[in-house]
Amino acid sequence: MEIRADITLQAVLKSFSDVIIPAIDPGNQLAQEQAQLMWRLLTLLRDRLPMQYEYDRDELVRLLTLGRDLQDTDEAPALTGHLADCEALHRRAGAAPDELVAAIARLRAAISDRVEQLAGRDDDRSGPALRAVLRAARQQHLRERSWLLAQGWEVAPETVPAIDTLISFHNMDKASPGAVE
Amino acid sequence: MTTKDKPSAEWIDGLRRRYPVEREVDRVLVRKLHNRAGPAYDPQSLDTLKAGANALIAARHAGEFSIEDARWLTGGASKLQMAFTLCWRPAGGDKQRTAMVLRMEPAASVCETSRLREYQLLQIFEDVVPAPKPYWVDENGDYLPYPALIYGFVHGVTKPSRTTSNVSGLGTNLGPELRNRLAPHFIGQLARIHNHDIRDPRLSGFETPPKPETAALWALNWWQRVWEEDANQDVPLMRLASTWMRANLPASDRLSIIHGDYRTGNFLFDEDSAAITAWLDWELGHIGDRHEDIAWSMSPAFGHFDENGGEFLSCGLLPEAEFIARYEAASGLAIDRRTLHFYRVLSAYKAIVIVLGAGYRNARNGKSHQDVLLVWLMGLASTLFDELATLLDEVL
Repeated sequence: MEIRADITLQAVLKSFSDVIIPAIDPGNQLAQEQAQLMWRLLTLLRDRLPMQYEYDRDELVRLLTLGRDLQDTDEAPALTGHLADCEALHRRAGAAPDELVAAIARLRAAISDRVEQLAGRDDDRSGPALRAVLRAARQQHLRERSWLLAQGWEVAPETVPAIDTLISFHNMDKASPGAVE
Repeated sequence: MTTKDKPSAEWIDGLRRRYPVEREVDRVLVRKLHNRAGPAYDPQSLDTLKAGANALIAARHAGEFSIEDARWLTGGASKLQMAFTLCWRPAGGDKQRTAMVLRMEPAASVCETSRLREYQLLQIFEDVVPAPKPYWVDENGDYLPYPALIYGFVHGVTKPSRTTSNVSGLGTNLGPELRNRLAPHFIGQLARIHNHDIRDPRLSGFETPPKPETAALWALNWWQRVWEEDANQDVPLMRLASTWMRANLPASDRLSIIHGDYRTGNFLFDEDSAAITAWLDWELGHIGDRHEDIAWSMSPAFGHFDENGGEFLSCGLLPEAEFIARYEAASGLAIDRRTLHFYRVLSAYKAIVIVLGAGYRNARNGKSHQDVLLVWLMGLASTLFDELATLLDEVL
């Protein structure tokens, strides 16, 4: 199969910049702006697509690590169940990309429920757990900032590490039960 | 199709019970959900908008008129805008040509708001701060394909001609000279808005928070509800933020009219005189706590570091401490640091809800005239999450 995303996006981008954008009415601001955004989004997609699966696997590993930090079989049985399912999926070779994304969504929801439970009470256990949530959020969102660096949102872009230094398969080793970030 | 893409009556009622808000806010949020499973945005031609504007004006204005020179405007992330010239004779006036703007909702908006409220705020504030003169409102889309508003066209720019910025005026760098000249207007006009009497009888579309904590509660309910209605996936940090806010609602010492999106990029100015010629985008306005506008203006998304890389300038205008001090001096209203912190958390949360929650849902369902812009703006959430985590780190 030769009609793959890389060559398709390359051809679409070339058509866009060589033919479509120059032909747009300069007086149509809406069309001018949207054409530029389309070109930039497709460029971002072309650059990131090869890493997307690795990115999702990396996020799942990070969520498994955080989920184990927040786990309590008695208080959060739903989270415990999702952790077991997602660990099994992660260990399974050849998990399809959409299964991976769905697992991430389930684990995000279960962890969010647990966070709400912990944040709503004032005891010795909640403080460290919530700080773990903040640490995990910073790691995750640094990856997102790096992933989207080309969009130009950062006030100090030089401080954001390259995405390939933030997601790597060595993290996958940490998916085994008991591993702690 | 998910629950959120085809919401049931029970699901909608559940959200309304969990997150009570003002009646008019509730009305537009429920309308959004009722329309969600309906058709995607139907592209509108200039001729269609011209015909709709014609019908609206004919219903409201007794006298001959004609619409000329209709053209698209860009700039916002949420509404369609058409500029045109109206040839008419206002009641009691001479025949004239008036430049106007038609501002219409798409099938669903990244900020689902009330055109009636926007119209009422413009009626009030056109005499208080520079703002477009409102003419007519089609609050239910009786004349146009979707609800719309017509107001006067105002000359000016949102950023210097020789500068670059991201979309919607985000990250605009005004430059040292211009920022020094614009800052007093920016501060002084915010002070005037916040000191305006909230008992103004023209505010019929608004409700006044009955208890000191209600302003914060309504604001939180509004945005948490939109997050629940629209977000694609849970984010643990968002749940942490909403739970913390709900447990730490500040009591307001005074209520003000809040613009809701007071920032660089939302005002027009004259490059030669450095005078602000109009404040735009009043759609998020409400009666609330002044700290909400201050906190929103201080969002990192709207500012940048100065040329030396030393100080962060809120809205690209002033360092934070100076911004607060000058606001206090101009308004005579004190800024409470704990209350401000709450509203900074809320501002980061609200901005994420808009760009990542509502932006995702509307683009997914093809509901707007610029879905590609909404997808682009989703990327802004990555820096907003960083701000939210930093703010929560200071209080947990």
